[in-house]
Amino acid sequence: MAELLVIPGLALALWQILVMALDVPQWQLPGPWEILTAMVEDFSSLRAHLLTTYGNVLMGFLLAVALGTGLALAIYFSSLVGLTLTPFINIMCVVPVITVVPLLMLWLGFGREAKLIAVVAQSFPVINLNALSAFSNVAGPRLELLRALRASRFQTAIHCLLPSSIPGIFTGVKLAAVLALIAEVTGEISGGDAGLGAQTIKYTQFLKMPQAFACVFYVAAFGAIFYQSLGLIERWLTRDH
Amino acid sequence: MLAETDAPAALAVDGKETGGPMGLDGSGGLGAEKPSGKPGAGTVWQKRVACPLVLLSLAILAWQWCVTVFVLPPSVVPAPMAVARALRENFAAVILPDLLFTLRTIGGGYVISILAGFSLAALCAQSKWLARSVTPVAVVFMVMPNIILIPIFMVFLGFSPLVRVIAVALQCAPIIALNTLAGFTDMEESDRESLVAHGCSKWQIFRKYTLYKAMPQIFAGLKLGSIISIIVALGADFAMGKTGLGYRIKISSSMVALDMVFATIIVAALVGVAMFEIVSLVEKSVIVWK
Amino acid sequence: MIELDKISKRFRARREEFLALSDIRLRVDDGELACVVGPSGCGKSTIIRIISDIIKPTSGRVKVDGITFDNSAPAPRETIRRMGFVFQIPNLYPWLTVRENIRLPLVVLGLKGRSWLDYADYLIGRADLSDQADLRPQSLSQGMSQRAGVVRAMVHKPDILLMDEPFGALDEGTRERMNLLFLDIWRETGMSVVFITHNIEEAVLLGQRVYVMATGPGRIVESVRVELGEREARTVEGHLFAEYVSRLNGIIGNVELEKTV
Repeated sequence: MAELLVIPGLALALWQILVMALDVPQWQLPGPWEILTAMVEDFSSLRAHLLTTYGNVLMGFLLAVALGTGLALAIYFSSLVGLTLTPFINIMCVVPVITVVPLLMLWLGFGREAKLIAVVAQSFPVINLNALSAFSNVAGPRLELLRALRASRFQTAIHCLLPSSIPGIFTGVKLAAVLALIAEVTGEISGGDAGLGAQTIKYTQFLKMPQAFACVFYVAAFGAIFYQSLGLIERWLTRDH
Repeated sequence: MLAETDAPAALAVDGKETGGPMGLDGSGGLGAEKPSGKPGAGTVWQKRVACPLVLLSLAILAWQWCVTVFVLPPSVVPAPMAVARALRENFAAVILPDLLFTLRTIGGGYVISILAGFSLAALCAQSKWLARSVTPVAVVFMVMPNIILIPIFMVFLGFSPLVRVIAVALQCAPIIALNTLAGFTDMEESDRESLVAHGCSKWQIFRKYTLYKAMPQIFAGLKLGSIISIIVALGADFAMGKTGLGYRIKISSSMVALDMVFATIIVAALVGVAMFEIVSLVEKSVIVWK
Repeated sequence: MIELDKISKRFRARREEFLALSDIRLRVDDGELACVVGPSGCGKSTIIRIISDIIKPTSGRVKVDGITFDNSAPAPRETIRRMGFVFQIPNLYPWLTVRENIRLPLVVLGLKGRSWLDYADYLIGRADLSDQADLRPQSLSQGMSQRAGVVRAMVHKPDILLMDEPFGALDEGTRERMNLLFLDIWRETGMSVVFITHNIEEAVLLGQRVYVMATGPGRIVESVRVELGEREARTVEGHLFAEYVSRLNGIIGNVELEKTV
């Protein structure tokens, strides 16, 4: 446990010492302590943007999980759906979906909708691919029981496919978390005022560096906690087996 | 682009195996492989090439049809023909310079990521303590959208192309490092024991065994890195402007020149596909034993 | 009552065709325990999957309680749901406890109510799994897992039980105990049973009628009515028992002989 903190701790300490020793002014490079202070003091003005960024990411992410897994089930049960959709989803996995962000902003403005669509579009393909792969790898004998009972497709999904596929699905889910954050911040820096990304730009323009770094730290902290939580959720879901 | 998710992933802080990242484990190409248990219709060629092509053509036809029938204005949705024309006319003069610039960003960032990633993984493979300490830091940098650092970098470095390259490298190096490390450390204890019993030195074990066993996982990281590097490079173009494919998209949309917007998006998409395919091809030629 | 009338099954794999079953005729009366013995690969597992409508025959008719299955459409759900299926390997779901695994058919079939849950617990007790019921399947031995599999197939009180070499993977001693336990439980329920095995002694011990199959292609060569008294039926050592066993061995031996001729 302690080793988790050694390197970050040392790095931060070194940073603080260098900044103080070399007498670096705050508007150039603040030390971690100034950044922490800014995070606390400017919290009220940052709060709306925190909610925007965190909210968009989470909402887009959850939609992506639902869409990715749902489509994966549809593809699994219907070869027609699979044949039609899989090529497009495969391509979407590999191409940088965020290229459509300026286009979306042109059509939909700088509001929340454009960013949400970008987040969902960038994140759901990888979930879909991993979920589908996991479903297809569920061993035949496990499914035979449900076939013998004439379970409906819905029942098969709930009782067998989904529980068996948790690890595979979560591989995609964790990647989607990374992509969702990138997509959201890309959207924020591309236009509009809302969100921590946009605020970082604003603060750097005014050389208010502690606040700019505070935004970055808020994003980094969110990313780390989000990602870790997903890991914990996965471990809880697969407990005892 | 994917197949079994048997290869261990490296995305968890504690290195726990949860399946190959993005379902990439070294055996995928572009195009879904129908898995065991569900017989696919037709040959591989049909599924992977003909089917998507047919669907693509149908999609383009549908697009053209919508534009004509609904009389969509070119400032909202351009016709496919207009996009093709814009692409043809502007490629050499306008798009190509931006494309090359972004490719340099991607290339530079990706190469640095590989070097840094491999080195970091090699170091961490020597010491469990080091691996445990470095992994969380790497994860933080992997999860954080490094594009948000660009405005800050710009304060110190201005519009230098280095800013974009560093952003790409910061995002991708951890991915490559973590996956490579996972590949190195995922060794069957029984295999290692038998190798040691045969008197193999640490270096021999590495060269003859670990390296081979790690290849699928290493390539999983490389493929993932390639996808992320282009995403970050384009995002950097958005943030910094002035040049680059992302900038071209942005400026075209602010000029409402939608045919150019679509054209550049297509170019960007092709770059993404090309990068991934190149890494996959390299993988296939390296991993001949799969 | 189960009736298979001139059932044949052809499997197609790539360019090759393979005749798995040819002209199978089989009849199981209500409450009867019928065994099917034969060498590996003779299609025994295919037969009961055809009865259970997991596989469709290429030709022939399946008739269950007067209802003829349509070979091109799924069999009526109500009929299938009156069947229970015991697999060679139980494949209990690792994310459920043993009790939840056993109750799974109740959930899938929508059978709610205290009486069903109580019956499940009763079966758990009969199978001597009460101590393991709230554990995960990973902690069970092979014998326990298989008992759970058998009981799971019975929890929804099916009229028909289909068993695909359920005790084949167990060691001799465990298998004998299972056989006797199963006989006891079966007698309480009055189910019709189709029991697949490659073990002749098991077939004679359990079955009232034994169908002998040969392979290449899978077909039924003969069926033998087994009549053992109550006392004889519970031991593998009686004189009458040995006669039946040797008779069946003879039939199988002839089949083998035919193959080499």
